Amino acid sequence: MFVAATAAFALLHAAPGDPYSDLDRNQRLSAAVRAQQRARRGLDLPLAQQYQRWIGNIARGDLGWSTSQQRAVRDVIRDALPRTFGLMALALIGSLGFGIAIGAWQGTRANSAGDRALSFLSMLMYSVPEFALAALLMFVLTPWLFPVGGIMTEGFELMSWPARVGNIARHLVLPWLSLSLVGAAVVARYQRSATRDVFRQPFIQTARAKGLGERAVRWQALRASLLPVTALTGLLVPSLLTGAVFVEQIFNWPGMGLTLLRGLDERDYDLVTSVVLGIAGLTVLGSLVADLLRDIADPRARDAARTD
Amino acid sequence: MFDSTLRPAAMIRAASRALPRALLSLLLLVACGGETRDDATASNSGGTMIVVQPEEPSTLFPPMLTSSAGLGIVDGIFDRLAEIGPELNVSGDRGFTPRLASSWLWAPDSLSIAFTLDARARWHDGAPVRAEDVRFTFAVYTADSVGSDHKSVLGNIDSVSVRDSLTAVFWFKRRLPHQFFEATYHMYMLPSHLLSAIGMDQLKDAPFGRAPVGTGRFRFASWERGVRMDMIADTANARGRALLDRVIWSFVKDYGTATVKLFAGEADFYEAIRPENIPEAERSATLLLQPAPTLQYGLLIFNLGARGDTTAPNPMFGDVRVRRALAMALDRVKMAKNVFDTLGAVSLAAAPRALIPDSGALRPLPYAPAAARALLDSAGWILTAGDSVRARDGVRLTFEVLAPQSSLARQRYATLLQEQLRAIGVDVRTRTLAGAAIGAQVMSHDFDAFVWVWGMTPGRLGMVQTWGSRGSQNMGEYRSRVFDVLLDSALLAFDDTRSRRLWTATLQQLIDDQPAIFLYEPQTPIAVHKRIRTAPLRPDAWYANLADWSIDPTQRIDRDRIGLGGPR
Amino acid sequence: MSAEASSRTLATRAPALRARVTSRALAAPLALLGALALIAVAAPWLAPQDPRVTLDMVGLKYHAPSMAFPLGTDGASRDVLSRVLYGARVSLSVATIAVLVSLVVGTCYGALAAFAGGRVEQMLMRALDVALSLPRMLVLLVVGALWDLEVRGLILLLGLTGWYGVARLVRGEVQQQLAREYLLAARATGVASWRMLTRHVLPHLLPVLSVAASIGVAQTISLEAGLSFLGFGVHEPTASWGSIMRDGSSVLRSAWWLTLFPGLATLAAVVACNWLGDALRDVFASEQVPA
Repeated sequence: MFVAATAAFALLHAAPGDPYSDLDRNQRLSAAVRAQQRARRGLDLPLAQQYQRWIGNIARGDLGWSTSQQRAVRDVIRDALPRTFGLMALALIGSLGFGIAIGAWQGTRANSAGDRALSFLSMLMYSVPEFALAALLMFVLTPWLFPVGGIMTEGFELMSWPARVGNIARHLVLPWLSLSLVGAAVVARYQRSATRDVFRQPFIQTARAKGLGERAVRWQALRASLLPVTALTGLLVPSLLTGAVFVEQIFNWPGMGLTLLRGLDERDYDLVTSVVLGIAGLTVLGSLVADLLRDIADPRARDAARTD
Repeated sequence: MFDSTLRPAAMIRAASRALPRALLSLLLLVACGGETRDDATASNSGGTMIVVQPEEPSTLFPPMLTSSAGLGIVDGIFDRLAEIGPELNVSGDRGFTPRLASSWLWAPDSLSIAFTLDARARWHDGAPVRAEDVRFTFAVYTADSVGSDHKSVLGNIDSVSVRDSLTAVFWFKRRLPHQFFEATYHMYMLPSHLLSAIGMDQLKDAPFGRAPVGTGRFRFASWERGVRMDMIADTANARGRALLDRVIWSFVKDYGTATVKLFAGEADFYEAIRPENIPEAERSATLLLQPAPTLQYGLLIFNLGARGDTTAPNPMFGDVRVRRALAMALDRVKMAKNVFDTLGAVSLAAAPRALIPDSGALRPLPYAPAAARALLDSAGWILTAGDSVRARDGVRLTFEVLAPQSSLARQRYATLLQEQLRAIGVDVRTRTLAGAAIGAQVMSHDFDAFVWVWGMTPGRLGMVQTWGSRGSQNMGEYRSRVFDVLLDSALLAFDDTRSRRLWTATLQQLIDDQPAIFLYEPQTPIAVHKRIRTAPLRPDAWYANLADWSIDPTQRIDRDRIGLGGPR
Repeated sequence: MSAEASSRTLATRAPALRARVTSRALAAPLALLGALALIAVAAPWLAPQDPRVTLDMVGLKYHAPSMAFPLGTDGASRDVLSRVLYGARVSLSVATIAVLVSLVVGTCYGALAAFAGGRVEQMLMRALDVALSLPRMLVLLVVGALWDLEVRGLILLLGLTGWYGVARLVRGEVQQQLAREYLLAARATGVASWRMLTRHVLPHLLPVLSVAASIGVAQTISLEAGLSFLGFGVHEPTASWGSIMRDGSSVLRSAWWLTLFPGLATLAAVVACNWLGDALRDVFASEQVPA
């Protein structure tokens, strides 16, 4: 994460332009005033010194000042993070829920017509870029069924509580669906092969031999196949994050992705480095969770990793 | 094509018909006092308007407001001392109407103007407005440590002093035709009792910019970052409450999303509808399109200096013949039709038509590709057999045009002019960059040409900065003594006919020299819900009379019944 | 993630028991890919117009699909069919070359790590972990937004951010090979390492790499389209499928053809590559059964 943030810092400062160089935003600002504003933010110092100062601030928990929103980065993140986090958590649940259900169904009926059709469908979903899917959903389902974008309707604060929840839910559906469908396709592919693998294992045969009903056998198989698939969770996080950038852009969902894009456009140094730091953190967290789940699921893998 | 010139004129006529009525009601209001006005307009007031806005402002602190985002919001919440008239006259105080100042008095030598403040005016927190606020505001706008964009146009004001608690006196360095405009147009009055305790260099980051307190007929209500901002009618306002209960500014960056929202009835107003959506808007049963001229013009600015070296002339654009040839190779009428359909016009000169006193007298360069080719030949840029690009002394006539990612219109212009110049043997490479990257390149003079839009104020004072030899925004390094003298005398002319003649000469000089190709004047219409009754749209600011907009009581919809109250 | 993850399942999964997998399984995706590649190569002959030419600025703007312009025209009155055809060249070649770059870099890195062993290997793999902690798209976004990437820069960027998974795979695979007895013997007798590498190790990498490559191309096509859609990839007047969709994004409802056709093309290409990857995996898995 430290490396990531440093890399982001270096990239930002090396790139052409700075927070005060956009002529469109400050049409009549003279070069002298621009220079003065830079000096106020310490942007005229040698890079090494700026870096030192920045690292020091981060270490003290001070994320800095957002030049594009004229407020502390902490406040910006506090607004944006829950929006992205909520969307992602729901998308994760959606991906796993749909994916496991579809994959398990397919796994037990491998090579049937239904399985093939679903395989083809999940291949499509797995292949379609998130932004194209989001655009398609938007084209087909808005505005008559769902709102076109945003997180809540204007006048939201005047609604009753149940109406508020309903309002946010309606705004959530399309972004959530865009992310979940792609995620579900990934999960379904794994679940299908995991289910098939389980069915080939001796304990299923044993169970069948013991005279267990097919339903019970399937239940056993599902349970056995679940853990390796849940280990996917950690790996899904970065791909969902990636998708979230596009989905937020298309559905005007004011989360981390939209914040990042705006920050990049306006060369908001402190904001972008903080967002990068945050996303890298989420990814690391995701892979830790993945490792943990994998270890629980399959102790052999853990041992293998140890001897590695 | 040039029909569209009629539009602003028609607008102004309409506005001037409405003006006497507005003045009358204002007088009545002054006579009767605020409370009666409330009763009189009770049936007329109320309702919610939702404005979709592409860009979210970074702050609502007026001195730091630089891009168009947030202008309407600030104009609703804050007041100027006086408001410019619909004709945008800037000479003397003709056409100006009282706002925060109830009256003003010129000194006999015209070197000072004493503004008397409206004694009933109150800040939204209840504190009375005092002359000290005016003095403080001027100090803020001109402080280097604040870094306001507007400082450069306040140069002729020497100081502001407080005569008594309700009288503030502006002192000018020299007598100019537009000094009244200068004193009133650029500054929104700020509350000194809330801000004077904060250091000047801290002001722009202060919480005030996120929850402003002004004197306008609207007051700030809430701001959900990245989502929307609400302002509501200030019911205690001395000039009468805003007729609308609340205006919600909804920030939607994506144009497609914004228009769908508009067509679906989720929003009532959009400022910048694009030509491709005009037919849909016209078909819509709920929307009304109204022409809304702006004071902007688009242009392609050449770097007259060598790339990265301001001392040497540019090998291509240093020659006026090349610049003129490039301009004549462009079918600017068709280009404007492509980008703006019927909603744009070719720019005549370095100013929008609304600010050209006598547009008929100007002689713009014609579209003449054959002449352009001949001109390039005579300048030594020749097409040799087997090459599709002209060259002179082994140097090819090839350059780079920059356009910002944020503007589709400018990107399209770059694409179109690339194609058209290819036809006369000029090789153009277009690059689409982030605004910050373009700024960095332009300010270090490391560019060939870029598509740009200048927004002007009615005073035309900005021209000194944008085209004057020592102008701080003269990015193309245009240096002309003749032009400097002409501009100076045009700005100084008190006499109307003389002023017209001098402005024509000044603008013609720029046309002849073509330091830039003047491309277009955007005249994007506003789209507004039919139930909303708009007040006259002023060409420099559609939102100028927003407090007088109302909703037809017979056509109210759910959101109009929200009222002023808080959460239910 | 999927290239790496799915290949991991290939390595750990019990041998699949498909009755017979012939090269027929590969035929369909290969045919689809071949057709797309052919379109890309033959674009100059297939395209009815120059993709950069504005045909009639005023008359042919946002012209709906018709006989004359089967896929319509865009806002600058350019023929969308021609742009999609030429766009295939850009989209496919960017993805292919970028994947080649990442294959080469990843293979070298992974093989180096496996051969070097010990502390060097540890360090190299630690560096890889760090690189993997950043989602690829984030890196692409930041770099793409900050610099104006020409096509060449875009290829390098995509290539140089795509090799981490390959490096891991290759390292694992090389380690497995090195652990085999005949190679241990060869090592003991002092056969030069590079000969060992080329003669014995690399051929065994082929299955893994070909699967990783086809899935990698699929991903890269998607990524390039996404970047260009956000305006950070291919710029005017060059067209890629993603940049055409960007042109269409603001007129989704009124000029749907600008989004639909390049979108379908992208989908077809990505599906073909993923499909090929799956098919290859199945083929190699069935080949491994006897082993």
